[in-house]
Amino acid sequence: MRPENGERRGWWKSSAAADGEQQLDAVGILLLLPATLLLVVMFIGPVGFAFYLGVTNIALVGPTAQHFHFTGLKNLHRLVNDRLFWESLKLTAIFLGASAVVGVTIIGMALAVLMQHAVTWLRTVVGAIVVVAWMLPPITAALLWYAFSTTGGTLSLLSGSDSDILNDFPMTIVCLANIWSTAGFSMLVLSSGLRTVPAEVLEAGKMEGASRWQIFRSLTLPIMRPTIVTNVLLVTLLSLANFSLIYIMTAGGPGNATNILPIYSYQQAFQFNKLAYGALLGDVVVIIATVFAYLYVRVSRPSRAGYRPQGKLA
Amino acid sequence: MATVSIEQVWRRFGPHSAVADLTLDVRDGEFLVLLGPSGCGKTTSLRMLAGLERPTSGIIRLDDRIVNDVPPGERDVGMVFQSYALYPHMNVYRNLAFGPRIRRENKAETHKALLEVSEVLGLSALLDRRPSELSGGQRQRVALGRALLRRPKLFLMDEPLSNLDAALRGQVRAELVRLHGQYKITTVYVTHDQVEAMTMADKIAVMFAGRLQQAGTAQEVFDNPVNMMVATFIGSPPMNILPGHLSEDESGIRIEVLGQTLRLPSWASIKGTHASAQQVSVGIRPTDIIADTLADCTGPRARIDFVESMGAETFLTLTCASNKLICRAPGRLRLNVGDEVGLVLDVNYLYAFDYEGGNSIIDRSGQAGDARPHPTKGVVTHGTI
Amino acid sequence: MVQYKPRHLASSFTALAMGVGLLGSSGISGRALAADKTVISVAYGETYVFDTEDLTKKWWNGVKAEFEAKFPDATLQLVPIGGGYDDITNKLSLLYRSSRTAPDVAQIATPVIGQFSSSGYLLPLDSYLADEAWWKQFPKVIQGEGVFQGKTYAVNTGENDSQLYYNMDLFKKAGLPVPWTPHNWNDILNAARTIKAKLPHIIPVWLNAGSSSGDNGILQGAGNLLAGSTVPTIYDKKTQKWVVDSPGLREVLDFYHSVYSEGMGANLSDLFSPSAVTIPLTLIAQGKVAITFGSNYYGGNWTKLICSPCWADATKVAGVVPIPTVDGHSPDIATTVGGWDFAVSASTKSPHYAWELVKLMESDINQINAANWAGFVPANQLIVKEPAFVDFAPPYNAVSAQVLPYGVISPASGDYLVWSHGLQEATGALAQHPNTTVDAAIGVMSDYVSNQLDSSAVETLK
Repeated sequence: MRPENGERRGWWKSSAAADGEQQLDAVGILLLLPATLLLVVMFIGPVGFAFYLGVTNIALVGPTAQHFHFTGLKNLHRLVNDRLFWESLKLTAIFLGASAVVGVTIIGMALAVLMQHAVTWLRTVVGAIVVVAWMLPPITAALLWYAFSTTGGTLSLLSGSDSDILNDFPMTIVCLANIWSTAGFSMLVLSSGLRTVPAEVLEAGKMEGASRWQIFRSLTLPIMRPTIVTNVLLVTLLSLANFSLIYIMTAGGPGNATNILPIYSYQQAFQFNKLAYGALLGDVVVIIATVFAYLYVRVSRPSRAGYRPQGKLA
Repeated sequence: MATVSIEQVWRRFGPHSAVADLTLDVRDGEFLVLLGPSGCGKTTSLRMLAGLERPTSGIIRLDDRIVNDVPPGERDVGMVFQSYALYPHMNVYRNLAFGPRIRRENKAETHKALLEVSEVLGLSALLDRRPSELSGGQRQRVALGRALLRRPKLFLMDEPLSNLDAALRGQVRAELVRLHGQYKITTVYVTHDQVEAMTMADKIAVMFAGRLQQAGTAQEVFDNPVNMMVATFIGSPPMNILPGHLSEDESGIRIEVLGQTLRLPSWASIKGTHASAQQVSVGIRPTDIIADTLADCTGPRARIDFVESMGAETFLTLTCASNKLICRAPGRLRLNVGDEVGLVLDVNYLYAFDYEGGNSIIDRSGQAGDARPHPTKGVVTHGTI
Repeated sequence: MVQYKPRHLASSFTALAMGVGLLGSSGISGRALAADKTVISVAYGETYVFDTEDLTKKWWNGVKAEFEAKFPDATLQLVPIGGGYDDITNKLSLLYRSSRTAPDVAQIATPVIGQFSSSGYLLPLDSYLADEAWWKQFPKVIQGEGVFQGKTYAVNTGENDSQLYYNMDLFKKAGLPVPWTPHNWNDILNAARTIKAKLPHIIPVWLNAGSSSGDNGILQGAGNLLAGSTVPTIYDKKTQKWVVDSPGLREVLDFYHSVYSEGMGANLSDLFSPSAVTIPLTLIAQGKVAITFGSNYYGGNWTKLICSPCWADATKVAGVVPIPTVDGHSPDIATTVGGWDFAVSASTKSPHYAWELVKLMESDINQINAANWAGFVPANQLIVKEPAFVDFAPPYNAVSAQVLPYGVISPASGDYLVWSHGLQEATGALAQHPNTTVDAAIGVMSDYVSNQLDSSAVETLK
């Protein structure tokens, strides 16, 4: 991105303050205080405490339930040497990559484009279905997909056998279920992104003799890039939080085939009562989420000129 | 370069006709302005020429080739959109080169042509900027450049000046005229701004409610509007329309308006089908009324409701025999609201329209258009002289 | 332990944050209700323990009325805890973190009593128990489930054990003897093979596998077999190590290997379903499975009162027999035992009333009702012979009472659940991939447990 006048300011200065319209004064600080306190008490405090718990020997019940103490690098040492953790991290990456990045974005984009071009009734029907799928509570979505993909379900009937597709391809199915339940959200985000692509720009491409595909690839996609990146990050965060879907469908199994980090963390903390190690695994989730959240905030930082693209991500 | 022929073209959206029965020719190298208020069908007509819309019926020809089904990319037509429609993610160079790249034109030649066009349009220094870093006028020129690089037979422009501020507008107007003079590309230009139309057009086509009302030179549509809609749309302030009465006898045509009877010059005649004595809408442009102090005036009297001083001239809003009308007065006249003035109407530019249909009744074909005589007094046959 | 096991929906992190929030939350508000009355609180599972929530209300409201009638100067405050098995433990552990919120009496799952007592949460009950006649009727093994470091911290209020159910109609069709009395595991496998050969569309054996049901799947599955194996040790007290390879485990996994590699098991989608342990109840009633390793509560569930599912002809069709040991070694009965206990908080201000409440809940009629309404076997050996219990679901209740004293209780350590999960994965691997060898399955278990608990915490028994 080429440097622009006043575009890059220090993060501590709001643009208004830099324009000299408003300064952070005592009253401002006073007004910010409740929100700051709330943030500290409700968020930073618990998260900080959770990070502390991660390096203690706290258990859910048992001798160290109340009298726990700091155990130094012991849990970290275990984490680094825990094959299941690395496996789980890999599964998390696969789940997020395959379902959030690839699946939801591509399906969401396809749906959004379809919605733009389809006849009204089809648009209404498809739109309603995917949005309902998105609005369904994770439990319902999970049970639906569970029934759909196990023996006797539609999927195995379609495949012409009584095979148990959920247990044969667990990661594929939970990814599909996640795509199914999040594509509606993605479609809504990308649809509104598509609407911000000026029709005249696309028509200008048409006038120059570009084919539909050329227009989509060379004009629509690049213009929508900020929306797409935003969508990918949001869907990644949503998927990372979509614990219940996998938990209900497979509980991380069979074996450890779908044991993504949130599931593994839950299992350690609340099934094996190893609260400290569960907290440490949860901390890893928090760190991953923070990275994505940071990227999201960066990308979605508002630009001044309408649909002006963000340029190359610096 | 090309000729355009539009024959009985309709464009319907459901029950609504955006363009109805449009028949229009554009000569090779002509600069045609499609003029009309918003929603009149002018943009739809332009988009049909571009190929972005398909006519519901009728035929469009470019250079005698029927192009109804030819996609926009294959029409050799360059278009400048109202919003310029620059590709926001590309710099100026890539904006200009996008079309040639899509059309797989020779890269070296494209580069050369691109530099030439940039030079002509003054874009050479801006080639690596993005649209968001350009001013409105610069964006406009990139849009023009993009259309020019198409080496089009036909240039289409959809309200290209509407996003510019007033000062820039005049400048770009002149530039467009200059470019048209330089490249002589047949151009269809859509606007709702009559000043743009009057100053740029070889021919103006006025549209209302989907229908072409009149096509002709700026002077033709100004001096001889076919109906009340054209008459009142062109000219600022708009033509005054007053209730009146038209009659004809051996001595010629007489019009009763504002309590006086005026006889039209001898070149005037009544168009074929109209009855000789009837109620009509009488039209007269504010510039064809002289308002003067009472001392030397013998015409109808009016009271001043509102004074709009423009410096060199003053527009007065008047009430005369319970009719509202606007007239132009000399600039430095000391007139106040409430004063009474006398009015003198120029019978050479008195119009009469069918009371119901609004069509022009008077055949002005005998009028010598170019030599505008001094406002004629003394044709008043009735009243105090 | 009958209901579908609802899964926790909160991510561990939010649950953790919630827990942190709860630590500082206010105490049970009822304590200040009546200054002149002693308030005793009792926490219990609201949805999980009894078969229906109506029965939960009926039993606990009855206890409250009875207690308050008997002690007019006391008030019983009910603290129901919703959710599944893990939720009850989790919420109880949060309540116990502060003496202000700790319930005076709590219903606690047997496997976690040791952890609660080692946290210092529970009051030793030996002095109270010494004089109680009913306590002497508890089998030694059950008396022992609440004993830690020589002190008794909990009193059982109902057990679950396991037995074999078999479909007599299917057995007759396949030409197998009815009644059927398997004396060892080969008898079971041979009957299953006959079923497979004669009735190819019938599932020969339901045997829980995999990790979708957690430790429940072990208690109602592999645990019973291990209890009847030649080396049933789970935790080696001498070396303080977890056993991840032993002749006993290999016998168990070999049995699994036979069932699943010979195609005699149920399909995976049912086995690996989150509600797997309750599926055979329906499959048996529908005549789709011939032999089932199942829990004692099946018979009660088929009754008109519970109806989950209703099955009027159960006694005519579903036979029941104890699970034999691997080779018929004495007593030729093998079962796990797991249940629920009452414990008194170490921080209670009224130990007297708390104990009176426990005693009241341990009365014959309350224990019989609890057993019938929650699908338990009562621990009290006099009660198990009462017609009100036996005739509630004949002949099933008689058999489950018969096998109870031979039951094996799981080690009361938090790490047991890790070991259990290791065994779940091993059985899951055998069920899912029929070509898995017993060695490979042992490897799965041993890898899992040593990865989780460190390789120094596991051992192989020869």
